[in-house]
Amino acid sequence: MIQRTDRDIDQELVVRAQAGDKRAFELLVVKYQRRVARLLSRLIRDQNEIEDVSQESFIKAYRALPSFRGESAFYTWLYRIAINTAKNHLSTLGRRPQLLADYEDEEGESLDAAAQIPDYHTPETELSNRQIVSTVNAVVDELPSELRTAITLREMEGLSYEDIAAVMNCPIGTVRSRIFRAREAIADKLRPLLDIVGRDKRW
Amino acid sequence: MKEKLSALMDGELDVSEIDGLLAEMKRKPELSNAWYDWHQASDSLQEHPLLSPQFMQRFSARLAEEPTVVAPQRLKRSSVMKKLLVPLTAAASIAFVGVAVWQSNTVLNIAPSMVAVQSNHKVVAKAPAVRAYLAAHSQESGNVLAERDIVYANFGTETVR
Amino acid sequence: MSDLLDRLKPLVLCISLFLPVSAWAGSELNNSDAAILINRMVAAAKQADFQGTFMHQHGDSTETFRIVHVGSELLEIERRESLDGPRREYVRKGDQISIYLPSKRPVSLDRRFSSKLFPQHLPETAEAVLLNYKLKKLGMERVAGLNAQVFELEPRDVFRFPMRLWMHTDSGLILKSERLGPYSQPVELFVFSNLVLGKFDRALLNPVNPLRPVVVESNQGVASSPVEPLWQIEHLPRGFRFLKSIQRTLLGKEMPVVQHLYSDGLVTVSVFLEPAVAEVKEAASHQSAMHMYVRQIDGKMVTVLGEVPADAVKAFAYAFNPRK
Repeated sequence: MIQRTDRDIDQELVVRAQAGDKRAFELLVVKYQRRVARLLSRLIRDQNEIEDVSQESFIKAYRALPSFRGESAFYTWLYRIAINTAKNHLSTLGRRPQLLADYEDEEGESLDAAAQIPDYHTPETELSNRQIVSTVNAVVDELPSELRTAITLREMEGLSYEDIAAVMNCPIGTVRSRIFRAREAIADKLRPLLDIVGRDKRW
Repeated sequence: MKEKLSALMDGELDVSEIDGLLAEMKRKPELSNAWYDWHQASDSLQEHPLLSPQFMQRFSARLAEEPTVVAPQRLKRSSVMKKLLVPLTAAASIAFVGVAVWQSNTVLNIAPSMVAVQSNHKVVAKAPAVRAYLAAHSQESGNVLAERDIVYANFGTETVR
Repeated sequence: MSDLLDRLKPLVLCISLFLPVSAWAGSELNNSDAAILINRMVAAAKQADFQGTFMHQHGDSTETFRIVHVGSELLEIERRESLDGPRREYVRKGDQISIYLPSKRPVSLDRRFSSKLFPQHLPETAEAVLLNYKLKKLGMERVAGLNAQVFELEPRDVFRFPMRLWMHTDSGLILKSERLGPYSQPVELFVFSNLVLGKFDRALLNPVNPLRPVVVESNQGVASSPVEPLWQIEHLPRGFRFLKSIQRTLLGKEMPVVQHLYSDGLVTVSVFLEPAVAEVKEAASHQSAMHMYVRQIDGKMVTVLGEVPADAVKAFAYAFNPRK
């Protein structure tokens, strides 16, 4: 789910990326990498292919930045680029799609049979996902209750700091600090699990 | 600084502080790593798939080879989804919590015990929550897939009369 | 000269058909033509085989879903799946519905809504809609690479907001729908980003998550008007039909609240009735298209909520008065 606050922060980062700040764009990629991968995983089966096409989509989005004017949310625009990239990728794999004149999109590209690929549901990736998910959930459950409530209302319910402050009956500054502390606590427990590349390097 | 990054992630950082923070991120890897880790945790809570650990490294390398885009422009504020905070009578907002989204422009004569006035004229009252009504209303819209306001969906018994 | 004009006319017509929708004043269709079109849209959603992805924007959030639908066979089957956000899945076989939702809370669904998800927005009978809206043709646009005729359901009175529909010219399927708010801005949007019509691999109908069944309330025997011992109900705004009433407990309240639901065929309005616990000033407010009205009278409180204009929620609020 994309929230109003997502649109605000995305706009800020996009503006800076458009002004030449590549790092700002990278922050957006870090934010949306898994969402895009998930979108593509319904069209592409192979995990490596999914990652390649995801990366390609982000590169295409970067190149297309000058044409993004904020008329839609960044994610919506990105999502369209990802779907198109996936379509093109699949058609270059040699599938001969049923071409019907009706099914050309605005750029004149033909809609191929990408969406007709049966949905693959790979048990292995599902399992490792579930392990991470249950670990994160376990860590959240073990947080002190005010941190747990704050991070849950923010991440799962998408409430703004203001709304959380109203629900928890505390000042907004306290909400901000609780969410930060919850994030740090979760990240500390999660890091060893995720086999992250050496900590001295960025990412 | 890290706490500011957390606020940025939620879109709750003051706009004037963003440039300073982004500059700091370039100097301090721990800030970039925090951005990465926190999104990983958040995505896991939402059950998004895992990616290989080198995904971002590979991507950064590719991006570094791309010609830098420089196309500054004024982004149009989208007219879709704009929040309209115009109460027809200001008192409505006084009655309910969650009122920040139903904003009042003027503060009315309300008994002090009922109202906690904050700065910039947003009024929060200790009274029933608007969100509870919104949740009950949207629950009956028939679209089970779009259920939001789940925090208030703690309904007790529901009986059709 | 007139020869030249004659030759230019089709060109002008052609160009003008592809003007942006906002540039069009629109021409109203008479009721029987309108009914034919609406019925076509309803039938297409039920009978066509199709699969695709669509986006749902409402208020602050944007979500994308995948949908597959079979209607050409004896049993109508559809499967929907969230492509982002919390994992959700919905499968309907005829009247039987199963879901996968993150919360374990039991879910029940009113039968009248069970097959009214996009693109099956419209009620069964065109007459129900045309009582409250007129159908105007606005122009042509392309959506998801397909040609669509754009229509507007324009309210016949001040109690509702307009809705725009993009109908695929070939199949009659609704490709995009937009509900407008008080300033003619879109407040809820459904739009296909890609759509393929025709037969597809049946494997796509298989769920990917463990589903649990949903209780579909038949609502047979529910009164067509509310049984309300505590309140007198008179002069409801025209065009709204009583759906049902529910008693529920809301978070933060000690006493249960009664919720009445009304619908005009496209949109629902909730009226909440309860004893007043604190002094509340009568008030109206709104956020985007969602309007709210609160009225306290004789120790009781009425709260009205719906994506309808201020006049409508106020009229509802005044239609309810405690019995002496």
